[in-house]
This record gives sequence, C-alpha cells and structure tokens, in this order.
Amino acid sequence: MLHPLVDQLRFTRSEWLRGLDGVSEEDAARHFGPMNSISWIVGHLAWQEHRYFVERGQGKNLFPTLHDVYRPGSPMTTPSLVGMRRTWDEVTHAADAYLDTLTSASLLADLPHTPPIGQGIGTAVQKVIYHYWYHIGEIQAIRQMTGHIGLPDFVGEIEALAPYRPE
Amino acid sequence: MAHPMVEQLRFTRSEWLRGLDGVSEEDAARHFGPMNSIGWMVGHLAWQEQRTCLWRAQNIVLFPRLVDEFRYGAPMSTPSLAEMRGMWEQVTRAADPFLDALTSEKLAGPLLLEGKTVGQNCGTAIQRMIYHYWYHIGEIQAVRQMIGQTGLPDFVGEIEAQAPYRPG
Repeated sequence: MLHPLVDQLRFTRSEWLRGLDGVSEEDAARHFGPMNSISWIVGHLAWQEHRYFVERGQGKNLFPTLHDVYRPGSPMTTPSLVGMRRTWDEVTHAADAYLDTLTSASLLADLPHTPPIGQGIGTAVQKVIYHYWYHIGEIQAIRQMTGHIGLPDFVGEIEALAPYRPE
Repeated sequence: MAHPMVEQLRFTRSEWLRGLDGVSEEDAARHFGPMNSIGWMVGHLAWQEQRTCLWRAQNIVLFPRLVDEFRYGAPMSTPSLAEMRGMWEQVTRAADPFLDALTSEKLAGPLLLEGKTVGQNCGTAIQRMIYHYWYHIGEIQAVRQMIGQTGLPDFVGEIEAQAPYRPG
C-alpha cells in the first residue's frame, strides 16, 4: 500500500487534471497582464516533479530544458498545452517509480542536492502538493477571466479518493 | 506538541496571511468578472474553519453571518477586509484548543454533522481545509496580479524551516 502522503499527492494530481479539463490550446495561451499562461503553469509543475522526484530522487534528467524554461523566475513563454501535458504525463510516470517506494522512514531522509540543503523528502512532497493547489486556484482564476462557466468546485471528492489515514 | 497535520494547517494559515500582506480595503473589494473579491474569500475561509473546527466539532457558532454569506454558492457580496480578517482571527483562535488536542486516533474518527456520521473523518476534513486555503492563496495572487501589484510573495514559502514533514 502506498504511503498516505503519496496518496495525497496522487489525489492532488487528479484534482490538477480535473481543473484542466475543458481548457483549449487557445485558452491555455492567454496571458492576463503579467500572469503566466496556463500552458506555462503546466510546464512549471512538470519542472518541479522532474526536479524533485526524477533528477534529485533518482539521478536522472529526462527533460533538460524544463529547468531552463519552467523554473521560478524564468522568462515568460507560451508553450503548447498539448506539449506540456505530454511532458507532465511522462515526468509523473517516471516519478511514480520513486514515489511508490517511499515509507515514513525514507520520507525523513534528505532529498539529495549538491550542496546539501537540508530538505527532507517528505517536506519536498508536501511542498509539491501545496504548489499544485496554489496553481489550481490560479488557473481557475484565469479560466473565470477567460469567460468559462460551469467550472469545477474545489476541493473535490477527497473523502472517497484520499481519506486521511494515520501513518 | 501538536499533531503533524495540525502543524501543516498552522503553516498553511501563516502562508495565507503572508499572501494577504499588502492588500488594501480597496484591493480586497475588487471583482474581476465573475470572481469573488479577496475580502469575500477571507470570509469564506473563516466560514470553513468555523464549520469544521467549531460548529461540527464542538457545536459552537461564533458568527452566524459566516454561515449565511460565505458558504459555497452564497450570493456574491463585497465585505470589508478588516472585518473579515477580524472574524477569521477570532474563529481560528477559538479553533486552536480543539486542534491542539488532536491525535492520529482522533483524526481517524468521524467528524459528525448535526450528530450524524457523513463518511468524513476529522483528518480528511482538515486536509480538505488545508488544500482549500492553498487554492484560494493561488486565486488571490492571481487577483493581485490583475490589480497590477508587483513584488508579490513567492509560494510555497519556508516549509523546510517552519513545518518540515513529521510522521503522523
């Protein structure tokens, strides 16, 4: 059985996808003022999962350009939503091999970084979860500004999909 | 020591406040299209804290107004940010003794709704609230960008120092 914290990340990813359902390429390319586009935000979350759970967690670099283009503070760009969704799918699939092995003991270990920065693996997972939720809210704001109606409610069915379990 | 889940809620609350730092009454009253105002969102999170930690857990309602005006689906309104901040602070302060007493066993137990189980345990309700905060932190930063504010805070903040993972 997966660790409860990994359950929460999986639930969060499903909510992330639910929040993107119905977003077109055109919608995803819009910039409101200084805001990043939805498609860039998708690349940004792919960057974080890749950096933490593929690069640092497993020592692999599947998508070298993610760090250049989608890290915090990188110059504004407007990528393809389809392209970013595909990258996100591949990154999260690669991350799962690592996430599936995590235990309460291993979550306390440091997530490797050179030089060491004292960030535990569990803390990193927690950070990714909250970061997703932050951007889910931001994306729904963009969708409202785009004129979308009938938007999904958040938070969704956590009681059925990822209820609290003690470790 | 508070349960790790409660530490995560407290960290989230501090990030919520960090995201509101620098928001004026005027800013908090702006509506962009169909969006709720920042002031309303603060009331909305006060509503959820009251509903979860006070009403359902302890049969306490400090502010009936929160129930009428700030639940999901309530008609759009434009409350004062200062007033909503005041309610949020009072509600969260009142919630803290309940939160401080939580254990893994209590979190796994049901959170009743009007005396009946509804298939939601206490830990899930708190997890839901944490994610709901983060959702609105993101939404609020979007509103602040559309207002034209610059130098906005980065999220997620200093979780490594303030609320590192602990098994719970």
